[in-house]
Amino acid sequence: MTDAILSLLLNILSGALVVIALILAAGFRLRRAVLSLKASSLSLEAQYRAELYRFLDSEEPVRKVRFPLLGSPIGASTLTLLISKLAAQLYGRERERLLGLFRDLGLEKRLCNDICRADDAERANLLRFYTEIVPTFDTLKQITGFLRSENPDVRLYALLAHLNYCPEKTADMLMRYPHELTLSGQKEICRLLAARFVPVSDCCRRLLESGRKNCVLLGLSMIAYFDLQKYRPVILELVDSLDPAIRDGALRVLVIVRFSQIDGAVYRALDQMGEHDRKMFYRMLVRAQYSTPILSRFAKYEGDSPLAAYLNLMISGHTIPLRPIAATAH
Amino acid sequence: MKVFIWCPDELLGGLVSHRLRQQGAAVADISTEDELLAKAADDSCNAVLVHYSKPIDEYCELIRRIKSDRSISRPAVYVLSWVQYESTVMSLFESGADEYLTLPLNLPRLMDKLNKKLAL
Repeated sequence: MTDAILSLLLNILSGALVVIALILAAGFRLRRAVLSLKASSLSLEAQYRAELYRFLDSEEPVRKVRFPLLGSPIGASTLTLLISKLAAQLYGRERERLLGLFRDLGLEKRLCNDICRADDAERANLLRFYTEIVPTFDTLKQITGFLRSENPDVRLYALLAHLNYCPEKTADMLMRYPHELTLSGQKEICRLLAARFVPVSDCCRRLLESGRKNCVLLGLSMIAYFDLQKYRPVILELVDSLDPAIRDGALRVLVIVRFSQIDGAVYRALDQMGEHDRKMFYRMLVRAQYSTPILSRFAKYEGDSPLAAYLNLMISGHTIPLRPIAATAH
Repeated sequence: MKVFIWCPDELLGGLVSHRLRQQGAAVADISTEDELLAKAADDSCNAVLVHYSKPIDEYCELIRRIKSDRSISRPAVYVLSWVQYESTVMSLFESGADEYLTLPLNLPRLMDKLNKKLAL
């Protein structure tokens, strides 16, 4: 009886030892696989880069290009990243060849599937590729729903993907876009339009005339980004806007384009601004080295620390007469 | 022919270097301003390609130094940038830049310009 129990215990023990050994072996194998994947992603990048340069030099068709381990997720993501970075900086034949390669290797389909499956943070990251790579119509249909996402980054990059597909329709698209655009979002749109060589003058006019806050703010950013001289008078008109976001946007652009005739509209806007906004505007003017008569207008706002204003003036090389110190009775 | 490339974007810099090497030029990749000036003084080069990403004044000063330093053999300076402001471009030309190419880059156009200048 005792022997039977002992042999049973021994069997259980040996069985447990075998299971533990198997788990440890599997763990070691997994660790080795992870390490080799990391190492291969680093060496893959160098290999892919060399292959891409060679491909761009030659006229050979896509089927002759060899990218090792392209079937693995690391391989696909490494190549997608390299193509999107390079395509963003190039124009003409090289760009077209890179985009052709992206599609012919099936990377677009894979990217689109990943976008649909990912969580919001990852989705925004993946959608970013479409700011560099022009999506196909099928892809666009799949990502249209993300324009209504609750995540602002996902919404922005979905919008940029749509604009990248048809940048000539920026004004129409923006007029239908119901969400607020951040300053960085406006700059991204301007960068996209510049990268795609879209004529912006007409688009800017339509945006400014639309009266919609989003559109007007983007129009203002376009004036600054593309230095559209003929719309400069519009900036002064918008400084008088009742909407504080438009007013602040107009003032920001006014300084960026170094508008010299700062007149009554700007001084009226100063009165309407909060202390913080006024300080920020003042700093912008100092950095842009506006003249002392303009800067000294700020002196009347007692709450905005006239001493700081004076010091800023001194630092920026302006000289203003000190007010005589009143004689104090001893 | 020797070309120095100072491009913080390794991918783009690598592509231009690769293309120039294919055409028979000796290319040196530069990573800092000091390295560029030191190498340019030691080893005469025919062209310097700068990818502009820092504040404009630093580049203007660098180009001025390259062009005015007698120990450097006055190479042609090409500037690549996303910036399209007229004032920025004018400042770079005033400080001595020979060409200003806006990104996205048309690679054959850059190669044509370099070929004409350097007769590669």
